[in-house]
Amino acid sequence: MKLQHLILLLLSLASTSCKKDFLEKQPEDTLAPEVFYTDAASLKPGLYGVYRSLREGAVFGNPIELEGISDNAILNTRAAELINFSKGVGITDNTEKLAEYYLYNFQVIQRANLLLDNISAPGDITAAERTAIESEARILRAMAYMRLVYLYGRIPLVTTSISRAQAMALKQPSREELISFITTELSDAGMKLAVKPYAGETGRLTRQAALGMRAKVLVYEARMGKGSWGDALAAVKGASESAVSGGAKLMKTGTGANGQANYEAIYSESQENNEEILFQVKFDATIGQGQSLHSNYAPNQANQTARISVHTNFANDFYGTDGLPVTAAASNFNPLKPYENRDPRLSATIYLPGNTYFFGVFRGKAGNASLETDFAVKKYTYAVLSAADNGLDVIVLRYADLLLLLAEAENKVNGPTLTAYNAINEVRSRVNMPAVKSGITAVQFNDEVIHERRVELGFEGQRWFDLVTLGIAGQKINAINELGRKFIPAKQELFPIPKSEIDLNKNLVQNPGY
Amino acid sequence: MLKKRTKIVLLKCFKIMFLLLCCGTGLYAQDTGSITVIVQTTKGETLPGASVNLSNSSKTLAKASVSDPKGMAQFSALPKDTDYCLSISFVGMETQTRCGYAVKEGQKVTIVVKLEDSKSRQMDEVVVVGYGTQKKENLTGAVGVIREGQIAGRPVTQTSQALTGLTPGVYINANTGEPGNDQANIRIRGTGTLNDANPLILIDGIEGPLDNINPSDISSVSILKDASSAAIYGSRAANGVILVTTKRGKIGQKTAVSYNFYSGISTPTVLPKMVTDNAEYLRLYREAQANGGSTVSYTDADIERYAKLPSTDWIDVIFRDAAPITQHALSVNGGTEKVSYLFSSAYLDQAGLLDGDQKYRRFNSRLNMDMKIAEKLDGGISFSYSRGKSSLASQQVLGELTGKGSLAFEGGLTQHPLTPVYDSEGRYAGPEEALGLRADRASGRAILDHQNTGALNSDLLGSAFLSYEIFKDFKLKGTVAFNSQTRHTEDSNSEFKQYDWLTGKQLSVSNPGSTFTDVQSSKFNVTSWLQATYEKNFGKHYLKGLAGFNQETSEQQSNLLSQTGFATPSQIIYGKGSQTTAINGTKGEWALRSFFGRINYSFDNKYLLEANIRRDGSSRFGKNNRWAVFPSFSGGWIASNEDFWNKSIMNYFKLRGSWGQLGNQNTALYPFASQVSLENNYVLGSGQVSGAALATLGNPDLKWETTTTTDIGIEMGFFNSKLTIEADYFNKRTDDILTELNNPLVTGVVSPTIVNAASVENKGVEGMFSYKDHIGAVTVGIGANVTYIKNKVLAINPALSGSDDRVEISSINNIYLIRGEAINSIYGYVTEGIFQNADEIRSAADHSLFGSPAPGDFKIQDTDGDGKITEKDRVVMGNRQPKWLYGFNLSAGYKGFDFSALFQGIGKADAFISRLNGPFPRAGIREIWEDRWTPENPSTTMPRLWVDRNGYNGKTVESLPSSFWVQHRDYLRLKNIQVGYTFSKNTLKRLPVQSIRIYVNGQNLWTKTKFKDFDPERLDTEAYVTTSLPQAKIITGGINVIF
Repeated sequence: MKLQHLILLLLSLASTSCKKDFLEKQPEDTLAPEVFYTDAASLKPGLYGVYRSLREGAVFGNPIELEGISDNAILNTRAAELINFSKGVGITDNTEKLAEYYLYNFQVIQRANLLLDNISAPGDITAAERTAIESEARILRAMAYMRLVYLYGRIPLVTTSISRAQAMALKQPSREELISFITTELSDAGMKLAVKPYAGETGRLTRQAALGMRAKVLVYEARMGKGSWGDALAAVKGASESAVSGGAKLMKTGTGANGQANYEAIYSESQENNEEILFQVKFDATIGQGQSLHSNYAPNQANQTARISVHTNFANDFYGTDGLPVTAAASNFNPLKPYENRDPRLSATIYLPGNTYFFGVFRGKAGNASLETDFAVKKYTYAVLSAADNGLDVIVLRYADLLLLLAEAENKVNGPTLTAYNAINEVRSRVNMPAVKSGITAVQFNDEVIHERRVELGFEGQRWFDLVTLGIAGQKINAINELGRKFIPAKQELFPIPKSEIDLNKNLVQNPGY
Repeated sequence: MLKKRTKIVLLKCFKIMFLLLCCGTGLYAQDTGSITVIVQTTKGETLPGASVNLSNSSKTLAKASVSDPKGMAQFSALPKDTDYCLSISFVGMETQTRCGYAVKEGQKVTIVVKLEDSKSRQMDEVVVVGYGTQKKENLTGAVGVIREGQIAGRPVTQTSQALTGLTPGVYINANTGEPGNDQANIRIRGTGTLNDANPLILIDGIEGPLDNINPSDISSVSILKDASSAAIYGSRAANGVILVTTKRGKIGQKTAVSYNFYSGISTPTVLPKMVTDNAEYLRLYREAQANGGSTVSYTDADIERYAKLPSTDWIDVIFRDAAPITQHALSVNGGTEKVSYLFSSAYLDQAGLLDGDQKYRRFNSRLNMDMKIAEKLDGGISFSYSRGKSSLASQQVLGELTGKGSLAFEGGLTQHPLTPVYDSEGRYAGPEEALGLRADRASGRAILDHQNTGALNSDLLGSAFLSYEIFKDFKLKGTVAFNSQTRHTEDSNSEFKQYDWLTGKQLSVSNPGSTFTDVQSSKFNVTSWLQATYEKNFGKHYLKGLAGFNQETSEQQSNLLSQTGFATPSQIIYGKGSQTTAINGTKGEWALRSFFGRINYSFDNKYLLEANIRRDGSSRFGKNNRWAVFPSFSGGWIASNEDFWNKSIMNYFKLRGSWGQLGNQNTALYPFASQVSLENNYVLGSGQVSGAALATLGNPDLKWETTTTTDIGIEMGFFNSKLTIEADYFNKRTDDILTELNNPLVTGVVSPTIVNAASVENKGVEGMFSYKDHIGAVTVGIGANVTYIKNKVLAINPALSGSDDRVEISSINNIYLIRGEAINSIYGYVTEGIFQNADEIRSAADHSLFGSPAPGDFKIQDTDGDGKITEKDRVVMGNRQPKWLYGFNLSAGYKGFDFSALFQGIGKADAFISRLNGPFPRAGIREIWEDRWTPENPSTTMPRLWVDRNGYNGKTVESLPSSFWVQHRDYLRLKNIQVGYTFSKNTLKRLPVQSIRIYVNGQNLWTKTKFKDFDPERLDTEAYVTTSLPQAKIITGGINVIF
């Protein structure tokens, strides 16, 4: 054998592939953003990716958790930072829940920004479709900023994709700039969307949803004395008109005579695209896209550990069917049968001792080791023993909320007018509760509206924001007198900016009190 | 030409093998003479027990014997021949081979052989090193060697476990005692990275899984510990390298067939002791509820009623009394003038410790063949196949089987003893509902029956090489190898219900609709390398050079399908569920290209020098930093070879030192690239829509992680090297560790980005000694090794300062990286004791962070002394990295008897245990809690009872970790003990066999530890006690027959 032949053979053995790009490997199951957005066909998946991020509990996916720092309830596990927060114990080294609300809302923003950076990608798409995608992304981004502003105060304003290095040098704009950005985006982009729900695509944003969220921001600002009630009222009226023209009305079921059934239908899976809903986060368990509110919060002794206990104070706040507080002298309240003849929303929202339920008779904390009070949340849970994920959508904004905002703003601007009365009474009559007493003062009327918000929107993630923007968090929470609840005014209106964020970016200023 | 010749040789070889396997061997000759061998020491003492082998010139005859008490070995009935060869060997003595004895008809030949004590025998050993071999004497690096004899006969089912305790600097930790899932983690000289810290494992030069090798195929294992020895594998050697060399046949060697069988039973090393007395249990439960401010629904009358009813020991229900284990192994090896071969097959069948369907079955087969193709041309091939099928207890994490979890174990630990296993109708029972007991953990029995994970691994490795001596002393070798691995895991959880055992009312339904997940993944690697070596002596100078090129590609893929909605719980079939809840896949590849070289030089066998260099390019890094160079240098001085050295006591002394750099690229496949993931589907209208979103933020500037190692060692031999001592000091520092750092939250990118950030240091010393001698006919051996390692995180994120540089890896499992502390530290509040009364609480620091304590609750240390318990009072409470590793072994032999024992232990290691260790982890309570604090029993160590997640102590458990849950994991364990007897040839005259050895073996028979109720050898990063099943105590009996 010739030596040369042998060496050749050995060489060929040893270097099976001597391609030039031998060390050039690119991901095969994902795509680089530059590659992904080379085609306008990617814009829709990009938008749906933004919608997807709404599902995070810290965004809109978990309406129950923040109830646990309001005066409605207290959390008991898996949320140590929020539990401590709800007791006024300030842990500043927040890495868990208090950081999640920051991160996941910025995730919505980041996804929207990446899409908007590439919104002019060439391809086969109509200008109208492109505008709709752009507008929805802008609205979703503004909604995430809305949450961030009311949870954390001054946060950096990011409107394009940023690198790690850029992220570490951002500065906080003024609160006014942030609010102005949110309201402008919601109206500019909102007006570019149609009023009616997109055919076959329930769950997508509409003009009335964008305007509704904007109205809420303006009401919040007016409550805090940072905006005018006149602007707020105009925004609420505009949003309501838009909603009504889009077919919005209060949900009723059957003949509409059963108040509790009407109310429960709003958040039942079989009715989840009902006309009352203006915006919701969509879930579908049958294709593996469910949510786990039931398994986390239902008082199911066999499989679940009710991770939230409802304050006695919340249960007591529901009126009797006579429209009177249970403490009122004329009330028909019977302390021996405390849960009879009450606002039907009480037993629609929470489990009460003595209720029969899927696990037998509900006995409060005596029957469930993880409950700390005698009340457990019922809204958003199912009447089944199973711990499986469920497909019930989570409501972000519904028409009843808008009606109550209207009653509130109208009363602030014009006093308890007929418009104001009609708005609140429409909500009450749906559950067969008597109308608000006529002839009361504007202050009394306002109290009725705020009370109505608590019982109507309980466990829908609204209470914390109401307490903070109304400036009554300290008054309400410190009056609970249960399970060590405490609120420190001039501090706990805002969460601390996560410490890890301040460690990495010396430009950031921490919120007062932390 | 070459091809044709190879073909013929191969054909011949198969023919020979076939003949050998089918027909066996037989010798037909006329009896004509005999040889008697008398074995003595140099002092003329008789030497019994020496092995004497005899063969004739044509190798058609070979006999073996052992010298009798008179030192005599007889070979009778020998055909006449002019050239008989004798080989006489004895432990601790030089083997002698003598040829040229002639036997004539009727002649009796007597030969006296005097054996000398061996001279530095252990130092003459040849050690397998990177891309070659070296005499141990000439090594300048730190290499640990394990020989086949140290593994043989032990019922180790995973090779990784076989390495435990045998060599210093190597930490082997078996995570669980579950068959088929009991691969051990291997750390060489500490954990040097935050990434995969397992060493590079090469089987005959090819990267492959250690655990699928049949342990009896292993000829030797070399562990390359320092930079000098490992640098030739620069790119991936930072965590050390393990070189496994399998057995091969020898040219001209007679065929030998070896059959090995063992069988035995395994039992758990330790199981938790539970309170099983019904009445006591109910009283304890009531006490715990009362401490949390709750009442129970049952009364004293109920307790009386249950006192008369039988109770269930749930741990006993879910564990088997004894699980059988059996292995058969057969190997054939031999060679002709041109071809040598080894063929082996083995079958292992091991049942699990849990009383379910758990079992592990593995089939291994290997063929190694070497050919002398031409005068200067050699070639060889190797194939090995392994198929391991395990049926495991339901896992917590399916995808990679990393959970090592056992839901069944949890389902046994968390049951009320007063619940029977089945109700009167034979259905799974639950507690009597009226008692109001928590029952949120399903019955362990039902889990065993209804939840299963199956894993099927098959590996095929193949390689071929050609080696040619181009001119004298210069060799060229080319190798191509492939490694194909497939993994298939299935997890099925079928629906089952539990009923109130008394009333028959349905209490729960688990796994409604049944669920099924199937993961199929495959990996295919191709490696090829070319190496040139030159070796030459010039007078007193010795020179050896190596240059090479290596490249490797790997493709991998994984697909997952999850379904639910199965019509019948008993029929869970792939694809037949009515709902598909998940379906996805991943795919990727990587490539590596390297150039390497090594020079060894020695002068007069006294001064040794070695230099290595390797240049590597990896596809895992972006263009900016793709290539890197890793150098190393080492030197040695064999002082005992100097003229002035007096060898009478210390016959060997070597000083050596090395310095070098090694790399690590074990990180994600594409960390340089930002990636948009398509797994972001949403629901709009009535249907699913595909969504996409940025999943990771890439780092285009990423570069290699570098480990710099310094090693100083001494080696000594005393009394002709009967006693050898070796010690090393090492300092291993890894910088630019590929660290997953969270992005600033404002980026909105949830998954971390990999950056070159952290630094870790491992400093330590290791030493070993070995003594081998014989006292008359008794041989004895004793060996020991010890390692001390101090592991320290120097930085995680250099952008942070001091104490801010802390990362919480897992809150539940309490794993932290903290600057200045060991990797994976345990961090939290120190429990100083138990509050005995209200006064103590009043005078103590403000504990309101946890709620309001009561007598019997933990007292937390106010570390910073500010009068208030805050998060600033947290300190490092424990260290997961063992600081001490040690092992020692004893061996003895007398005539045919042999004995060996191996002890292994770790020291200064802690584990964090929580939640399921609590008094009532939902249900069930361990006996240790009987010693709880009560006003009558004012314990200072055990708190009062609580029910999981309720009350002051419960909250402490759940969200605020305290030192109460930190346990010392130190242990000393008798890993293995073996007694065997070999029947000599003389007693086996009538059988067609060479030798028979029978033995009994015990594994993990004895353990000394303070770790309570559970096995200390466990996955140390999981806080759930049931995550690891106890190790198996295995007793086997076996037989080894050589034909």
